[in-house]
Amino acid sequence: MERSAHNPVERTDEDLMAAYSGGDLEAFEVLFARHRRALLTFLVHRVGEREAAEDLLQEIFLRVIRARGSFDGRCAFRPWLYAIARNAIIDGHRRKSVRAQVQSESALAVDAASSGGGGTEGEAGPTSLDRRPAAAMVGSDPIATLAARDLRARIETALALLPEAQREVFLLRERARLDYEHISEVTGVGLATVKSRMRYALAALRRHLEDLPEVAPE
Amino acid sequence: MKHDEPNRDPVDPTNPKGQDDSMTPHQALDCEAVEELLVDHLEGLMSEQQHASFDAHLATCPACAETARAYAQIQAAYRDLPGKEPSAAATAQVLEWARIEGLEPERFEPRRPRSGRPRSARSRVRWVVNVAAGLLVFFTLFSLLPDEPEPFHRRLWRADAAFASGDNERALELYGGLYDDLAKRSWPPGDPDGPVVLLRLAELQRAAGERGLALEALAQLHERYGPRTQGGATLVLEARLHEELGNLAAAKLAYERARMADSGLWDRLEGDIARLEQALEQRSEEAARLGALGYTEGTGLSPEQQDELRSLGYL
Repeated sequence: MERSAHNPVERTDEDLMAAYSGGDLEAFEVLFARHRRALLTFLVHRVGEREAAEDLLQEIFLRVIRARGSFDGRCAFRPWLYAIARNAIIDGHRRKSVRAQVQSESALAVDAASSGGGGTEGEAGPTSLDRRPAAAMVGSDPIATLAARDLRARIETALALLPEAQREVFLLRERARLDYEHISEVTGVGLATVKSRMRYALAALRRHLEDLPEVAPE
Repeated sequence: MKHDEPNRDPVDPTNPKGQDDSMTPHQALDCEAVEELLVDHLEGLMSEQQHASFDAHLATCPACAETARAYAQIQAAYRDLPGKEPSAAATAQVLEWARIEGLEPERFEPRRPRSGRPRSARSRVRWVVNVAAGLLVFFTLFSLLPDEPEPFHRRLWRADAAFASGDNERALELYGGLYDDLAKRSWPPGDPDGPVVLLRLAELQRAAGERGLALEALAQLHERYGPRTQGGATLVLEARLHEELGNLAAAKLAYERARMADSGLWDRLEGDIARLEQALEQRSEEAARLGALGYTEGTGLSPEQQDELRSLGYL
């Protein structure tokens, strides 16, 4: 491995990861500082809730820490990081669906018990499962003040309305800044499909942004 | 717009039959072929021939030209959105894991089995004296080392955490230190933290009532990081600062620029601009009234009259 620049801020991700594997904690700190915002934003837009995204962020970096010995310095760090992120999201979905099933069953049991089995009020409302509106996924960020909050909220709401596969490709390109070949590797679909998903995502975003209030394209 | 996702091999829309490029210069494209090329167009991935055919189509098709423009706008708007900052607790947790896990190989390294005879009492005393002497030398040398400055990213986390928790005084102090650091390094171009430091300094100075300093931070933000920082948010902040300082014309101009920068603000800022227009008109009427009474700036006015003119922004 070639010797990198002395200043950790100027070193490549791959070099920093190798240095951390060798016990250099500061290398990891620089790596985390470099990717934390983009990854958290990616996760918030993928899972829709700030709190869940922060939990995932921690889990992903814990996986990175534990897999440091198996990281091959010859491949790029960013696609590797986002492949780990993708797996963590999928695992999270699995856990959530199991939990939701359990909650759903217990909620039904509670409903049945509280209504005495009669259901006399005739309320046909939803169960206690979380039904947050798409707009509720906008996280709290102190810097997102004034008008930026509006633009941000509109784009985030429009993103939340995209189908999962299209949103994933859009975020991997525009937030993670992976090129299309790497997106194809991370998602496991062909290059042509990746590009067509991006195209459909842009078309749908355009449509959603035009439909949302306070958007007046010139 | 179609919603199914064709999963087919990539086909060059400018050359669907795979003909030699030299045989089909500037082949005409239809709207569907152009749509397929839009992503490559955004990323600058088209060949020269594709580029020429694509541009030729856009020149004659307003609908496709509008689509290309809209996609580029969406892409630029999303890329300009600031990233979300993890909480201080999440950051601390990850770094703690990194520290602990980083120690593990040493912690679980199997101990070497002892060999030879057990140490005698004399050799044990010699061993203790050697260790003590070693420690003394180590701490003496350590105390002579210059203090290592805390890395920039750690100080940024502490500043962000203070800002997020509402400890403005501490945040101002920490961001001020980061500002000095960036200034010493001549504001490295492309550094993603520089704009954050300047914008937060502007917000904190405003909260501290130092509006002039806040405006200065915004001016530096625009000067150092270019037009991409002149988004709706910073321009509205600039307008509010001017308005609070009584610079009504500058405030109105900044609001108008914010509207131009972000079309979503067009209706939202209409009330602010109308209010400023009214105030400016009132100010000019007052000036005319005073002028009609024979008052002119700096010519034999009483202190009260000067105060009145000053309050109207004419002195």
